[in-house]
Amino acid sequence: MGEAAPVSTRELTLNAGFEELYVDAWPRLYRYVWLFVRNHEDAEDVAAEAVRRALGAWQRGRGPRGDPMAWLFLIARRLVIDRHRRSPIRWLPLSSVDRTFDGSNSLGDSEAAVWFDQLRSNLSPRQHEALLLRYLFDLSDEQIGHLMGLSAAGVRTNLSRAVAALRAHPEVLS
Amino acid sequence: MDTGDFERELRNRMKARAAELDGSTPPAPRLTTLLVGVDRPRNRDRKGRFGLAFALVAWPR
Repeated sequence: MGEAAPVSTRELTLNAGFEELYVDAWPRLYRYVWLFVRNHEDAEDVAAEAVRRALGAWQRGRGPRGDPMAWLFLIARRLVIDRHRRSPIRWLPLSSVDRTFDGSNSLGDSEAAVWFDQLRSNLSPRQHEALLLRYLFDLSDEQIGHLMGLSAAGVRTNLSRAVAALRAHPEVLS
Repeated sequence: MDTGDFERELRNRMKARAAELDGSTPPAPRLTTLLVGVDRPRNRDRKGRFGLAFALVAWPR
């Protein structure tokens, strides 16, 4: 019984370190998921589940080896794909998100959301994801490659094709 | 506009548009709340399914 307190204190310290990381990462994690599932509740649910899993890994000493953001994105990405495979709800896989859009999304009509839709409609799913990870979330080629299962060269190819495709649609910058 | 300028402009535009959406980003839940799973859609679904089961059992025949 007397041993419970030190364990609890250790856990609290562990959790406090994680909480600091998580509070900082939450807005970007939520935004990353939302850009793909395009539904507020689903995005919040996936982001929360990703954090819960990340904490489990953190407590087992398997925290991020590099950038914690890329680590959280990877967990969230796997969740989205996994849920899409087994859920009766039409979860969007990151690779086919362009083809399905949930019109119930409360943000779907905002000018910014429409702009992101326009961007997406001009790109392949891979190009779209690589572009967001690079320009919006500032991840490196290696981090993006690790997330998307591509080589760094593959990431660069997708990015240069994305930029080339968008240059043919200058209205994206208008 | 050369490719470098285009990329820079694209990055700026993307960040500006994302910033417009920031107001809609929910605040980070407290970690304890998140771990308990309060108010998560999954729980709402569960409640919904239980409610449906109850309604079917209690349906007047």
